[in-house]
Amino acid sequence: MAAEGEALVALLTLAVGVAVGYVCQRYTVCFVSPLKRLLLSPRLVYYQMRASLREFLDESVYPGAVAGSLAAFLCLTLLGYSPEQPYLALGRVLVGLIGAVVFGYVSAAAGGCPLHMHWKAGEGDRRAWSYLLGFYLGIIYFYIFLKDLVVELAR
Amino acid sequence: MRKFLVKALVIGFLPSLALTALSGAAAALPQAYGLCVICHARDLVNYLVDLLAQVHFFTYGPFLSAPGIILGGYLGARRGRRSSPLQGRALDLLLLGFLASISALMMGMCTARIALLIGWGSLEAAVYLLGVSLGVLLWLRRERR
Repeated sequence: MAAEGEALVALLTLAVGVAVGYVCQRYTVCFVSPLKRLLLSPRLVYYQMRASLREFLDESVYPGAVAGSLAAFLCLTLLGYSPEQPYLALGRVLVGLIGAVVFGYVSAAAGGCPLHMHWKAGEGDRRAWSYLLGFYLGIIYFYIFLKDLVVELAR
Repeated sequence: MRKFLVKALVIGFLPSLALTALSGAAAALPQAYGLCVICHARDLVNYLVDLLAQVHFFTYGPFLSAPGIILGGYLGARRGRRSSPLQGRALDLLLLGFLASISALMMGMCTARIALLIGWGSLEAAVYLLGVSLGVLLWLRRERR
């Protein structure tokens, strides 16, 4: 039974991943580049928005993802799903905020977010593959050497 | 509007609904867990490490969305044009990938899940988006010099 559950999880997440990867490649989706554009020239983004809201929405990523997620949240709420807001612990938010700043810096330096790097690796970009190698080594390193420290700091 | 609707459906709506299906199969999952590159990559890596080394790293199960995104990128590139290649040395990118995963694990999410969580009304995700923006701003300032 457990093996069946795991197979279902694997298949479902693979299917969602393929759909997301395909759309992201076709529409060049990245969650860090829009922030770069906005912070580099906020006026330009404002004029783009004023010139044609439709075009702006087509070219941006965050409004689509947030709207889709909100729609799913409303559907799930109507179906009886009631998520609880997690308790915000100050230590956890501070550690997360430090992680967020470092993440923003290194993602901007690398030229994209991890989602961007994954579909780019699918395109066959060798540099994206070397990013992914570091990315997966980082996960192992974190769990061997850093996890306990981060958990302690987040308390 | 077509691109906007497709992105809303595939990046926001579909993964969030897949979560409900997963909740039936797996134990209780965190909120808006349908699309998070770092969380799903961590779950996969930890699942494989558990399987191979018989140790117990934290995992929600064999999430295959990260390899799925790579496969989707490959299929998309086969069908149409490729985007411009990444700039920079491979070794630098390896180091940046290493730091990106460690910092994302400190946050407990990546930018994709931040967007999904904002749709679910999460204040924590909004704070982290400000943090990511601050990091991007620091990088832009350094580049301007």
